[in-house]
Amino acid sequence: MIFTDATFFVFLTAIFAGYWLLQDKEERLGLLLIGSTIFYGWWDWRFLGLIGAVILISWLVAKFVATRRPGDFQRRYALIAGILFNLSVIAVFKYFGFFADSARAMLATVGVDPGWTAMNILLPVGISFYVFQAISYIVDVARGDMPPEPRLRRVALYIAFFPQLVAGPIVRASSFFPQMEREKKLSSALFFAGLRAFLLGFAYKAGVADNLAQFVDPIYGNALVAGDTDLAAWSNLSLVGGTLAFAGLIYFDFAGYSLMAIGVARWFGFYIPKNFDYPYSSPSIDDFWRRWHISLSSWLRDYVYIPLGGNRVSKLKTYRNLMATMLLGGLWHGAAWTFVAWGAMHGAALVFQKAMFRKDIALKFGLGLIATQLFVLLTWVPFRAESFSDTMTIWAAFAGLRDGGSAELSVWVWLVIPLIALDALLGRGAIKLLRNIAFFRRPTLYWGSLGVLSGILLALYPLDASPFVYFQF
Amino acid sequence: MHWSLFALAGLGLVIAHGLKLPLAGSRFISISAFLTGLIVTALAVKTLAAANDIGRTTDFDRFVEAAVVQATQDDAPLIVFTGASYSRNGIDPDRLTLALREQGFPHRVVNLSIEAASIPERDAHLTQFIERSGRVPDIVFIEVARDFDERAAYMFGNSKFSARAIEQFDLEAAAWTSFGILGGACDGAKGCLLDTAYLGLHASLNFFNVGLIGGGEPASAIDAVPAYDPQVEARAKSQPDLALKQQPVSTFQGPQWIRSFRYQQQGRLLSQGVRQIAYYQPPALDPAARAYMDGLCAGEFVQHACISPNDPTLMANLNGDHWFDPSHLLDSGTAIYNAWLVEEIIASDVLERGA
Repeated sequence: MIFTDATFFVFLTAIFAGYWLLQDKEERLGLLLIGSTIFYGWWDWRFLGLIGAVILISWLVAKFVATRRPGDFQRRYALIAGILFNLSVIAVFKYFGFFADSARAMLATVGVDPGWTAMNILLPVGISFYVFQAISYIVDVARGDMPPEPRLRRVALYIAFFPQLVAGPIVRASSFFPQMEREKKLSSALFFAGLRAFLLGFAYKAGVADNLAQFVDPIYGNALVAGDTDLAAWSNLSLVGGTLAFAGLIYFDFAGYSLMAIGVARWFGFYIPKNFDYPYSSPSIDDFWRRWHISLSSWLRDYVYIPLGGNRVSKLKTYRNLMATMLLGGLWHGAAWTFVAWGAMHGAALVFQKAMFRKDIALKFGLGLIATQLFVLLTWVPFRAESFSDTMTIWAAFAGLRDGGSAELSVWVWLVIPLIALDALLGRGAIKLLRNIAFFRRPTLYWGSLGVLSGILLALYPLDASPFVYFQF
Repeated sequence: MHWSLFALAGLGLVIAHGLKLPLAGSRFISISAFLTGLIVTALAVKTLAAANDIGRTTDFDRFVEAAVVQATQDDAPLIVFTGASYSRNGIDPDRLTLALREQGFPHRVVNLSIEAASIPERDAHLTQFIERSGRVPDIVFIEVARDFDERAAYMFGNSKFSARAIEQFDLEAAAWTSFGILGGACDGAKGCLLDTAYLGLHASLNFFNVGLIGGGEPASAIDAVPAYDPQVEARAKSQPDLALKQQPVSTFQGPQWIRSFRYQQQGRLLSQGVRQIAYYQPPALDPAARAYMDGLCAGEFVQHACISPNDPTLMANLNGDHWFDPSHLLDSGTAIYNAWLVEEIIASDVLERGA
């Protein structure tokens, strides 16, 4: 069940109607929990056991931690155990095969055959997201940012809340729990705020991202099928174009999902902060990370970078902290060395920027924008490529250091640049002026525009909808 | 892939970014404004797609492209076979062309058949073939099968909500199918209700262009794939001697809706310049299916060339391991059937030697 699927609309309508028909807060939250269980179990009912274990252990650990005074060794060990349990869930289900394969490859280089074969472990959808939320809950309680929640069902709803369960945004416990207690009322303001976010997200995902896949897959191959690329056949310009299309695809796909999650949560009276803020308009790399996957970068900042010392330590240690955080961020995205390389490059860029420039935006805007976005584009290559060898081939195409093949990607791929620019212009400035004019809120114009938008989105709707890219993380 | 995709996506982003909380207003005006916006956009998108020759690409379009390539190789008179999976497995155009030429007929055979093709879908692709190739067939052989005559929305038994299912139910096809369902060309009350519901949904999805720009592409970008799909391995064991069984034949007409459809189709094709329209049915093991075609040949198609496979000699030759399943031939069976079919075509006098 994905947000652009007809099944989801049936599910959402039923839960939405039931939620607002119920008057009692506990019953409403109970219905959301039931809905979240159905939503997650729809992927594979076996996943429910794992998320159930994560919820139960996190709830118990937080309860225990709160009974001990700060400084108590039991409190400390319980906290560490709780975090380690959650990390071990990801380690086993997401990284076991990766580490086993890497170790085997390493041993093979010194002539040792370990004799083991990697187990093929099914990756539960959204594991990286809900585990981070579980850690957020335990740590926030331990830090005293919020009291422990006595009711297991509240913790379960926080971790399994279906709008952001499988691909974020990662919501902080200290922000979500108070929202569960608040009395909620369905109003037109709430409904239309949710609709606006959902429709924009739907336009991103179904209108743009899914249609960009037809430029990306021929070059990079199907993301879920290994070894189906034939880069040699493509011209250099096509490899650049395919990468550009991927930059557009991953942004519109993930930002689209996040917006839809925000919209759906809003319909139930929950506020989820934005996850993207037009990152392709960033003039520097740290500004990019303040705008790209905001919930992950702020999670990593608050739960990894700052606990490591952040920038309140020596310069060298600050650089180390930055690199460690970004390496972890890279690995979080997927169990492959190409993701680690992607994180390392971004970490190095952040270190370079910190070392070379006193202010965040030391570069002049135009030059900074071009340099940053070119860097971001180049680093999407290892992120999406199947191997380092493919990465080198595509980078060589960017540099013109390769004899290109004869296959050409459609020239229309280049229209992705004005599309991204248009989106940033609309989001960051131009249209804000228009939105404040009452004329554009007139019912005739609003509903007429909604009709036009629906007509456009239906025509752009892909009949074979792709799963969201971030589901695999 | 086309520039129109980006143009529409850009317009969609502008509107989606611009939407904010609307001021309160009359419900009637709001609904009217919404529907007007939706319908005007649907019509505009249809115009845009038609102007740029964009459609939801299906395998049938690929078969048409392959047929166009074949048909434009030379100016030999064309014989087009159009049907469903029975013909897709049972009509080998190269084999038939060769056999005809060996007998002194210069014709070229093309196959325009796909599994579960509804009657209007076949007709639409025949028209598409004529437009794309710029050539009018000398003879059109139209496959007839009881399954399709007696279930107007046969497609839904095979596929729902696919690009192909949505693409075929334009207003005209939906009207013909409704006519069929209203006339009882569906499977019981429940089946008729389901077919009606699916038809309504698919016709709406077609009208509102679902996936037309996102999943569509210009005709010039469609790959050519030959329709003929030879099978070499059976998927079901055939019952011994079923091919030899015969059923009494009575003369009759097809259901009203399909007769009306065929009547208007004949008129249109003849006015386009098609010289002959003929009907045929590839062999099936079921004696009732063959008897149905015999009945039509003697009844509804009495004025047309009509080739029923219910010939004891043919069926005796096919009585063996020549069946993919009870309704479809293996390639070895197709070889037998096509050799027989050439003789029947010649005997029917529809061909003009040296035409």
